Amino acid sequence: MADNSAELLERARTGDVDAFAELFEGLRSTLFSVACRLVGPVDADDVVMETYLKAWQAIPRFGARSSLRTWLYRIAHNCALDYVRSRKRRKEHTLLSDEEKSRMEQLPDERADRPDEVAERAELVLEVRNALTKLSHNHAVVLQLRYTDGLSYAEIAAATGVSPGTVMSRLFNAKRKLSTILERK
Amino acid sequence: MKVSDNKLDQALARQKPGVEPRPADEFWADFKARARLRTQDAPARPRQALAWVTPLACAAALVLAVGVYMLSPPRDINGDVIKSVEVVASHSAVFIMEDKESKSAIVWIVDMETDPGNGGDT
Repeated sequence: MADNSAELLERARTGDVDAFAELFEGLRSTLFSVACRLVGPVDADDVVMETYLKAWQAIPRFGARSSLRTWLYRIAHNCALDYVRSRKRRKEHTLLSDEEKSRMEQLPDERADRPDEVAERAELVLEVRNALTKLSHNHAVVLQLRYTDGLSYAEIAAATGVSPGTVMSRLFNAKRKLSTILERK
Repeated sequence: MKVSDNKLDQALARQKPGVEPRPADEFWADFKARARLRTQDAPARPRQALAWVTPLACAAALVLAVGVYMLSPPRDINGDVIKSVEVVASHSAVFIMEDKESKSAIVWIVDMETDPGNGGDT
């Protein structure tokens, strides 16, 4: 979020679309990632666009009762729901498809000097990726929003449409199940 | 495979989607074209403009409560109940009768001893 966000917000409220773009560009990457969790990567761009358009319409009424990020994730959640309902095609798991999984990036760990450690870490990333597919959708999403996308509990609650308490409970259970799955290997 | 919490967190942090968002220029050009077709909502009314509403509502509620109290009929005697009567002088029986019509209670003490020459027996 830009340092001059208060000024940008005021300008965006009065119809300055450039100010709006500047204000929200910093969140776009994370929002895209969140949308990927909610509706899958193929439709994520559409959800992000609709989220920003709805935010553009509603920003004059933004009351600052929550942070802009949380507010935006709440809109994203509603857009994702609308999207899913309108398409009626949410039979498949919204986690990544095999093709997308193959494109998952495996960033090198700058702190790792030894090749065996790098290999071990890469293997664990793959194991965790497979284990995530064995979790329920809600558990997998909440884990990724928290640990991969770095959202706060309040932001996850807004993005998933549940209370922060439920988020904490889901995180706890999801991580426990993930560990159990990994231990069985 | 036993995995420490720390390693698990790191592995989760690396589960990025394989797709990237569109380039910023392209995305925002598209956004601006679409935003032109949508009207922004009217701004929310500032809270200061409604600041007088709460005290006014409280005052109105207070006036209403006082009015209801003042205009309500006096409390019915049936609301007060005589639970016991202590008669110091000797007597044979005590009857308590409540008359709803006159909203009064009658206490009848039978055979109560009174001073000689007073004459009455109740």
